[in-house]
Amino acid sequence: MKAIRRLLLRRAAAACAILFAASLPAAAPASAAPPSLSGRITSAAEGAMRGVLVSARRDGSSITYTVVSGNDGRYDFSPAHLAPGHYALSIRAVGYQLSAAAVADLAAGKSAHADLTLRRADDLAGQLSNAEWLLSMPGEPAQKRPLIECMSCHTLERVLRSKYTAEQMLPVLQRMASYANNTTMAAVQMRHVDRAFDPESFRKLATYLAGVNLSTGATWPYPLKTLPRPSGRATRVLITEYDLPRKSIAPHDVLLDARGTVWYTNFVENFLGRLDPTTGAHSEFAYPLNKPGFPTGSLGFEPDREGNWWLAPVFQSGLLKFDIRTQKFQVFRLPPELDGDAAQQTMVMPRMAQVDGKVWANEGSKQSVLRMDLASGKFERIDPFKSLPSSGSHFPYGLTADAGNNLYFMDFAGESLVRVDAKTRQTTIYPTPTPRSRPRRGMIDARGRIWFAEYAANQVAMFDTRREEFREWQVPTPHTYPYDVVLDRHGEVWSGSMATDRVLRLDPTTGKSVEYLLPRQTNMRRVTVDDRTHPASLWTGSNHGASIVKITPLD
Amino acid sequence: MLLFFPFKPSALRALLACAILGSAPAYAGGEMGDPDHVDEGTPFFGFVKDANGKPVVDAKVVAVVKDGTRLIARSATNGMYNFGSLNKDLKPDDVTISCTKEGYKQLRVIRRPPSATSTNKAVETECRLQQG
Repeated sequence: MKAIRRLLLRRAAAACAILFAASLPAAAPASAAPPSLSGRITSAAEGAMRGVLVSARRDGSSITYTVVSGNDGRYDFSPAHLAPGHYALSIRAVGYQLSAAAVADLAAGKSAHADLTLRRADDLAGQLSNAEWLLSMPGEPAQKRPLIECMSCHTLERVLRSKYTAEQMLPVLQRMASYANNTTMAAVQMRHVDRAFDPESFRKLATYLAGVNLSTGATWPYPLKTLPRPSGRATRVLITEYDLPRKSIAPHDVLLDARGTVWYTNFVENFLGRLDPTTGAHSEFAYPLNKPGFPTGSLGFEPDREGNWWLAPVFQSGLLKFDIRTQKFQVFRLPPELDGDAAQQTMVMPRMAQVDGKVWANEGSKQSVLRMDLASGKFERIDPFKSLPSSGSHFPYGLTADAGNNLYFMDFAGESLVRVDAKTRQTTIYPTPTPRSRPRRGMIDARGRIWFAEYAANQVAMFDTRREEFREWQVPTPHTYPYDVVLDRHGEVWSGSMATDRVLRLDPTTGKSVEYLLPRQTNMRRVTVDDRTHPASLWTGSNHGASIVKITPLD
Repeated sequence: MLLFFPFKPSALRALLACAILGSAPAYAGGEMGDPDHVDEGTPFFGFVKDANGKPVVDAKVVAVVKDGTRLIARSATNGMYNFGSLNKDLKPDDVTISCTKEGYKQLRVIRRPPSATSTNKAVETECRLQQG
């Protein structure tokens, strides 16, 4: 796998555009209305089935459309404007599967009807989301909590199908600490410096896992619990998935440019990706290997005022700037005194660089932030936690900047939002009302309010930088572990989950929310909204599933 | 009904401080990292009260460290706030505590440093606010 990746990187000297014409939505003849596809979903157990996700994918296409059945069990693909062709249909309804393979032939101007019959699933365990595993497993929250680390690279199903005893599990856990955080099952990458861990915590975890996996029998010693299927507003949605051309592509951050073109970072390969949602055209732009032998791929990226993309290349260290006009990368290397085998830049914040000519970044291995001067290319390191115990763990993670380019960041290893003054470099630490919240990613709005995810507290939160106060909202589904939060121009808050395969849409004024279930296991990281629609549409990436996903509410 | 506490107020405070020492941001980050805080320094905690000694909720409490770092917390329903432990190289006098709340002015700040014989080193600060 590594060899293939290196080969790809060597060969891709500049941008390599990959256009897979087969994925283009075939345009219907102008004179004919798009065909429609609808039907009814039933099962012997329930009769008409509400809240079943029905997906349709045309032969040879990389795009999958999904709608959800309503209370009467009926589904309707009208909002998808499907092109004529031969479609394979699939469903998601936990505990069920299609009784037989389902297809539909759509002709221009014609209505097609496909009733679907479901039966009990042969393998319920294979359908559970990470959250459903966490709900099913017996044990105290403190015993389950370490498992949220596993989800970064793989599903919990993988852990719980194992047959390791506690003694066998311990070295497995130790081995996990040697993998880079930018690892997926399709692209395993080793760290140069192993993560620190507490041996006693590992022993306890190994013992716990041996009690909930398959080490003692052919089935799990506890009933498998499932979350309710969507209902009400959650069924009124269109989901569009754009599969990327390689399974190894791990879209991490997904953002739109001013034209509505989708851009994304690839977490495990040295490419910046671009997807034109109207044509399906996909392009990749390669950047050079800064540190050969170190894990590849980028995590965070942000635009500057000119629309150039700045990337944080994790263990490749330093920063990257992609000039949107020349489509060339500029590499900003760390000086030797700031670089090292553990150095990792996971975040970058150039959005307000025009204020003072400075770009913010983080340095995860030193619990610190970096600031680069655009004119000189020089980096300075700032330790925002110098007044706290040095042995306490902190990790400056989600970065945002206010109108004065003062930095606000989320301490993902801790429980604070932190401000670094752009002029004085002085630090203000704001502990979140909920302890051990592990704030992760977010954004600042025009009113100076920071909307962010409290990952480990299962909450989304808002911090008013002017009033210096927080508000928090619990996410309805337990074990959601929201990663990022974005506010749309209609005042609604969106977040994606690494565990439930659900997208959260919350009205912070009323506290009411809706959660949209996605058709496949979808480990979501950064989320972004398309504000040109009303209500807004959400874009995100399937970090482990090599697809870009759009959620279009139909209300 | 009379409640009987078999402790003097100072002993109660010491117990509370012990509880804080045991639970205060003893969070090491990640979920499997080393939880030992071997170099934790002085913990700072305390209460915001009004002129009558009643708890003041949601007051902004600011701790300013001599290096300029600020920590900002809000008082809870019982008026309590907790900054946890600071760096071991900091002395209690390196940290200044104050509190504010809209509609209130600060009357005084009373610091209760640990007694010489106390085994814990938590610094309790009472911040008194007056309406108007």
